[in-house]
Amino acid sequence: MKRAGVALLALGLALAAFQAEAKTFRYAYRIDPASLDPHALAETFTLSWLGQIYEPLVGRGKDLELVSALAEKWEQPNPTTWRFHLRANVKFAGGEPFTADDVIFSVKRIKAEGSDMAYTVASVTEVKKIDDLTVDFIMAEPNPILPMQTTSTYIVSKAWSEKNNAAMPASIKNKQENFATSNANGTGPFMIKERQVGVKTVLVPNPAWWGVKEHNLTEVVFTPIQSDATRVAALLSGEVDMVYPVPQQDAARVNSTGKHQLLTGFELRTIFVNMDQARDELLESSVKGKNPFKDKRVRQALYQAIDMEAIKSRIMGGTSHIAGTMVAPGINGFDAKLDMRLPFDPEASKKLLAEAGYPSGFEIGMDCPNDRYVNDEKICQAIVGMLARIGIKVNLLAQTRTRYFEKILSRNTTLSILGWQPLSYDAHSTLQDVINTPKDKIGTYNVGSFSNKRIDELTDLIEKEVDPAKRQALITEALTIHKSEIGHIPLHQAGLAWGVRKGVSVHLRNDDSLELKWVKVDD
Amino acid sequence: MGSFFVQRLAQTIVVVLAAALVSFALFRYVGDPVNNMVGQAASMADREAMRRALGLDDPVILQFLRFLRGALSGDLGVSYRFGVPVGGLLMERFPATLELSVCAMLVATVLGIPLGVWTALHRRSVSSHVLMILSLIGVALPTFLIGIVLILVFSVWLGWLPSFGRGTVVSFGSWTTGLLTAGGLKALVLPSLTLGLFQMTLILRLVRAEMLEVLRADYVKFARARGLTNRAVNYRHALKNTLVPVVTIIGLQFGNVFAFSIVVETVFQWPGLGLLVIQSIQFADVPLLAAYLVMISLGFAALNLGVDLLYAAIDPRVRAGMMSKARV
Amino acid sequence: MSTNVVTRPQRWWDSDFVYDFRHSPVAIVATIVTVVLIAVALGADFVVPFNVNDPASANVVDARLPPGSSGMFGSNYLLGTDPQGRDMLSAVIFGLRTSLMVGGASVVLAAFVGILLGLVSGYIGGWLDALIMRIADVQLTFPAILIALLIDGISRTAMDRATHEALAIPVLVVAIAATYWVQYARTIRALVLVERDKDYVLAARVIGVSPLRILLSHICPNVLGPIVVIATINLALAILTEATLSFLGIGVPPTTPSLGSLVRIGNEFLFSGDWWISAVPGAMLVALSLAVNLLGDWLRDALNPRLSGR
Repeated sequence: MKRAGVALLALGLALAAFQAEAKTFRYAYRIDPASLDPHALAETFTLSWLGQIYEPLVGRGKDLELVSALAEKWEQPNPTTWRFHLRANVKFAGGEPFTADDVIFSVKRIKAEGSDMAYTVASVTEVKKIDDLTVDFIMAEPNPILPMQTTSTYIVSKAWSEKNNAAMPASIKNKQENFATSNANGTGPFMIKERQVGVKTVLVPNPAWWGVKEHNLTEVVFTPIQSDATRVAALLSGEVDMVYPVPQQDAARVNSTGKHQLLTGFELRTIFVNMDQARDELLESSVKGKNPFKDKRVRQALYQAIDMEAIKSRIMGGTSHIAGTMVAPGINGFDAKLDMRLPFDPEASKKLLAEAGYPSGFEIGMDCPNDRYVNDEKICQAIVGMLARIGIKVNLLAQTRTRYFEKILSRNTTLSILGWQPLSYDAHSTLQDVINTPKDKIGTYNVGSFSNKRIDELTDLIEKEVDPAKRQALITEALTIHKSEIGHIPLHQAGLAWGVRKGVSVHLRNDDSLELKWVKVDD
Repeated sequence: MGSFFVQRLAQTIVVVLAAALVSFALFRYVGDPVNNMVGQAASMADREAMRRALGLDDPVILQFLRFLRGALSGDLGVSYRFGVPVGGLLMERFPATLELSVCAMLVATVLGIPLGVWTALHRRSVSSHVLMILSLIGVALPTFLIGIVLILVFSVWLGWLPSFGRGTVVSFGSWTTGLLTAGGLKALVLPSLTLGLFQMTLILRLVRAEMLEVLRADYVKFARARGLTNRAVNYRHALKNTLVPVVTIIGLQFGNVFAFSIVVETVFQWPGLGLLVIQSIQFADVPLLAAYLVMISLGFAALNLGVDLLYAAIDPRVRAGMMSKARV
Repeated sequence: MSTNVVTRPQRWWDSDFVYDFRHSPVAIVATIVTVVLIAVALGADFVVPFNVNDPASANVVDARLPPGSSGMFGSNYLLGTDPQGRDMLSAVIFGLRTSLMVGGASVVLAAFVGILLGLVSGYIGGWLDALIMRIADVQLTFPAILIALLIDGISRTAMDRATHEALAIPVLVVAIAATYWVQYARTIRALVLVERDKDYVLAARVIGVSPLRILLSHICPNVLGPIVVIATINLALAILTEATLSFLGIGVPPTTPSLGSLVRIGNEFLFSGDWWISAVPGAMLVALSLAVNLLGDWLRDALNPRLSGR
């Protein structure tokens, strides 16, 4: 009887000790990851979130530098081959050992119908197994940035996928549920304990993880909170330890409580203005028979009429980085010399407009999303006001992103704003997708159909150039031409703002990705 | 009476189907789901292929028939956004919304009826004027603003109640409830109040108006003349008769409560149908919207019939009226 | 009593209705407030310090200034500015006009459609009655906001931008009216069912008066009282619906202020301490809604013959 009591007491003490050790980290983001299938949707947040569970061959460190993940070393034996030496003794959370076969399988899965990640390995024609822990990625053309392009190319277990009938990526097109949509089995530092789609996900550390544990968490609770105000309230009331993004108007409030702090940085996404330069007559304009945006002076007039300082201080709460070029600091290929805007000068704008033959301005339509980028609608409204001062009357149509993207991607637009973050963290993506002359798979997001032959040529050269210095020179040349031609009007990179409870340390990385493996809860 | 309800049921089903068809025709105007379903790397050709594979290019009537065929065999389709079957998703979210709506109605009734009686019995008193005006101010402000102010006061300043979610829920098979845990109950308070406030004012005003009318009816005057106490007259006769329209309103307002749960669930991140639906509209998740709309219109048509039945049970005159109409 | 000549105005002044009004301070105040607000809204162009409908008047440099501030270029903002640098006072007055316009027009439209269908349904009956009432049932239970969302959705895609810009407010009116007509239709139908079998209608029918004539001259006047009451209460509701739709991301274009969109924007600044961005339009919304509701309440009591016998 007595002994049983002692045993109970001991158990109680052990439990108490365990309780004291339990470190739960609760955090909230705006949305829920779209799917647990790492190949289903190439969307920044989903990929960043899944990066806690799945891992790529080559990952990103605290300053976005390339770091070893599932590959310990990588090299280029010849210009069209990348060789990856895989980490030994790695196991998936489900216990399956990680080998070269999983890499080959994953690339095959990524290239399969229904995958949204195929672009990351588009240049790869074949993956060869050299031995169990060495693979060669073979390409038809030299591709110097493959490791950069594949930092979100997550490796799944071949055995697990095949066993669970998930050898093909989850695709809505199949109109069927895929096991991998709601279940995950990665090699990463965390694994899923419980998931309610759109409501709550509980993660626990993966005991089999290969890496050195920097975090001290025993459990992570993730909740999507869509409403900005509610998200901030959840942080201020202590219901969660961290929220992001914190809307800029609440930044001061979060900092002033004494119990919370605000971490800030800049997005890697550049926001810019598209101007339709293809049509002979604009769709929504008072100017008939010609397209004013074909005239560089008009584009420059718009550029110099936009007061980015005012937008920064008044709309972005001083947190944004004003952009002079189309790629953000932190993106490979960024050149600080280009990151200077033409001066804000409405008088010069009026003169340019008069020279171009529009002394009293004109009327145009503008498209804007109202739920896609930070303060998107407000930025557009401010631009409308600024353009009104130089005589350009803008009819703004701000709508939800679904309708917005449908409209602008079908080129049914005159003036619009758009944001671009290269998923490869490399300027080539901006050139190819946003700046190059639209053709087939090129220039999909070049909504204004800006076109410059030399930039198109340079983009092809950049794709193949292996020497980093030469490559940078080509990128700078292309971006310089674009800048002087005013193909688009770059605006800014929005500020990142994470609200964190004091006593919790997290590392803010400029791709807005919260890496749980660097989180510490101190009390 | 039986044939009357069968007839009405048939009519209702026809109208529900028509409504479903119309709303289906409208979906293509909600936006293009494809752009949300592929990442930024997808080309225009990829998007086109996706659109074709989903049958979004087909005529509306074909899409509708496809939906109906699936629905009749129990397959409501797969959500574009979540990639999981829509039926399961809706059932998963349904308990949260039902619980919220019922609690909101409960709040509205429990507060609304006594306050309504009070303001009717003391029609000219200062207190009832103040009550009426306060209740009107409550409904003069949009629900979302009230919700945020409540969060600001009770979660951020006082720290008494949670600002989002359902708290701890207990599940029984596929059903979940927050009614059995302290955390769950606490989480229910603010959303129910926010959602119930509008209905409370409505019930308060309705009860007041009905009471005033009934109190002037002849039979009440007779009752008074017979020397019954005020108490007996007010509560046994007058109040009882005001409850008939109150029951109707509660039934009919359930639709509105469900609708406004969209707003309340957005403000409180309440994981119910409303939140799901508003996100689906933003995403143009057609299968989910279609299933939701058909489900909700069927559900409410049934509720309507139920209210009519109840109404008939309470008030024999209605029953007689219905019978005679049914024969026409 | 030879001086017992009662003039028409005198008779009007002494009628139950007006007597009741004169002795109800609530009704008087509510009427004054309503009339003043409507007058201010109608004369918005002449009362406001800044024309906020002109985008050039907003200066983002002056954004989020508290009440009483002076702007960078010397403008004085009595009630502060909104996040776009628009003068709050002017924005609220224009917003009031937009909201009243949307609310008023949708109530008129809903009442018109509702009365028409109610009369047809009640007087003609038969399958037409059944059809209208079943549609009403479904409509009444169908979430109103969803209907509005869908109507807005069609209009945006079906029209090009210029048309949509021009028709944004009519579209909103239709969307809101579509959710309110049922109430009128049901009320009217019920009243018509009662009136239809009364002696005076039967008599008219016997002497061969056409059904349309009977509807217009005999039944209509008898059912208008309740309609006025429903309409006043619906006006406040319609204005709130506009605000809710604005919260859900649809409604009037962003450059046209409405009370709803102003409150929605203010909502985002509640935690940051910029209280006036939500408080100013919120107060206006409360004043308007309260006045109209109190007026509606009073009308309901005053027009109800069973209540007026004091």
